[in-house]
This record gives sequence, structure tokens and C-alpha cells, in this order.
Amino acid sequence: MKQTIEDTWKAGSIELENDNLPAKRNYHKMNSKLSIDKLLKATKLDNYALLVIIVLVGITLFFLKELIVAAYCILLLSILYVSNRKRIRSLESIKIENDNYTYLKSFHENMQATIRFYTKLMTFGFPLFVIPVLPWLILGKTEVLKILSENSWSKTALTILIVYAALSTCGFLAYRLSVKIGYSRLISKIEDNLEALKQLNTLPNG
Amino acid sequence: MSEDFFLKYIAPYTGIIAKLCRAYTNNQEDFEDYYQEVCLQIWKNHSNFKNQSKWSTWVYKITLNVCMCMLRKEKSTYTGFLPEPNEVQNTAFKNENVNLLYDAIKKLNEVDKAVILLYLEEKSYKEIAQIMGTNFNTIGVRINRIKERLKILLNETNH
Repeated sequence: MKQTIEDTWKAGSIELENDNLPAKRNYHKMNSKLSIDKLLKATKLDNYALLVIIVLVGITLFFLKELIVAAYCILLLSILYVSNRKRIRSLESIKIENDNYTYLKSFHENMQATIRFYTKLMTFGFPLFVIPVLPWLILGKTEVLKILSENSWSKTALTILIVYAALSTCGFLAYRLSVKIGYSRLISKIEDNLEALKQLNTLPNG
Repeated sequence: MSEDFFLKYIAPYTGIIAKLCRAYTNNQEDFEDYYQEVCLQIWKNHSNFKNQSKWSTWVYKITLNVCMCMLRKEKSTYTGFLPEPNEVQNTAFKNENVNLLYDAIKKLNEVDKAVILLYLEEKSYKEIAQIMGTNFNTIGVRINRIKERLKILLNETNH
């Protein structure tokens, strides 16, 4: 007599009872391999590093008597710190014990929000940080002021605009490429699953 | 803590976790990764369990959420000289029919896979809908369709 799917499944379940399952049980020492956990850990680490950087930049520039640059750097880094804290809270709100649809939806929304945030940061924030600070630190205040005074206002503005656009493009492309390499497979997998769950919800009865 | 926790909360469900993880993976390395991750997530989040559902339902939710958000390693190590990973036949069980059933289940999309696994684990339609976060009324129809599809896949393998 032909076995039903249910009978076959039961036979497998009985066999699995004697299966050798992974014996590792030191979970408190293990690191999660879930992307959302890795992202959360990295964002938390970034923020601790930011705090250290803010303090170091502040102290260094204070002793170099570059108070304007110090204030500017601290302001930008502090904005980044606060934004990161928001991201951490948002990532922590994803509960793995939620039902499948809720979990995947919140996971997906958070991933997209994170990508949007870092795209904006790399496209607009990164050049904003680099353009004023780097020439100031590399060439020195007097040299920068000299260049600014020697060139016309329009020429300087145009140069800044071109450099800003170039850095912005580089930042955007670099981040998008890293997302493509790091997350595109996971995002498309989650999107496929969400779509299938939606279809399951709307399946006609009959 | 770890050993006690494992024995009390995870050990009774290792079979369930293993069955689900086997259905979502194609090799032993991935299977162990998924299995360990599920156990880790249960351990990390057990304090969030509020007794609003059965512990087993809670374990199913975590297992499926992990399985649907983990990436298998096979694609990055695929050389092109071996058969495609989803064509590799399952040999985890001594019973050939069980291996064929697992192979057929693996060919389903991830959501259908979850639905049929929960059905085969004798979960009620209500519980399946609760775990998946979907409409209770559509579960029965979907299960029948998946079973039909599984029969076709098993017949294709047998001939």
C-alpha cells in the first residue's frame, strides 16, 4: 500500500529522534549569524567608536587651537551619533518571536531605512565632512585662507561644488556597491517571502 | 546556566528544530549553522516569552524566522562542476521515502515549505495562521494545493 505524505513524515520524525544533533551548547559564547543582529552589533560598536572619536577630535583640535574646525567636527559627529542611536532603537524593536509576517516586514522596513540613512549619509554627509575639514587639516588655516583670498568667490564656489559632486557620487556608488554585495541576496529573499505571505493571505477560499 | 537551560527549554524541541532546519538547508554545514542559530535565538530571547501562546508555538516562530532570514553558504562555494545545490539529493535519512519527501519539500518556496512543515507537525490551521501571521481561512486551501504539488514532485522523482 502506498504511504501518504503524513506517514512518510512520521517515519522521518522517528528516525530523527536518534539523529546526532550538534552538541555545542555554550550559547552565551556564540555570535549570532543573523544579519539583523550583526547590523545591530556593528551600529552599537560604531556609536561607541564615535563617542571616542568626538572626544579625541575635540581634545586634539582644541590643543591645535582650531576651535572652529573642532566645533564643526563635533557637531557633525554628534548628529551622526544621535542618528545612530535612533537606528539602534529601531533595530532593537524587531522581535524574533513575532509571527513570521510581522518579523519579516519589520526586518525589511528596517533594512530599507538603514540603507536610506547610510545612502544619505554617504552622499551628503560624507562630502560635507571632507570638504571643509581635510584642506584645513592638510594645508593649514593660513594656506586655505590664502587660496580663498587669491581666487574669486565664484571660482571657489564652483571648485567646491565640483569636489562636492565628485565626493557625493563616490560616496553614493561605494555605499550602493557595498549594499549590493552585502545585502542584496538577503533583501530579495525577504521580499520574495513577504510576497508569498501576502499571496497566502489573499488566497480565495475554494 | 547554558546546560540547564538547554536541557529544560530546548532539548524537548530539538527534533522539531532539526526537522525544520533540515527542510531549509541542503548540506550538513548549513544545517548546523541554522540549528545553532535557532538555539542561540531561543536562549537570547526566552525572557520575552509571555505565556500568551504555547512554548512550542514560540519555538516554531523563532525557528521559521531564523530559517527565512539566514543565507545559505552553498552559492558562494558553488564551483560549477558539481550539480546545482538544490539538485543534490538528500541522504540524511535511512528511509529513502523520507529523503525523497524532504527533497520534494525543499523544492517548494519558503512560505509553502513552512506551511506544509507545520501541517505535518500536526499544528491546527489556527496555530499555523498564528505562527505565519496570515489569514486563518486560507490555510486549508493552501495546504491542499501544496500536498498536490508534493505528490506531483514525488511522482516525478519516482518515474
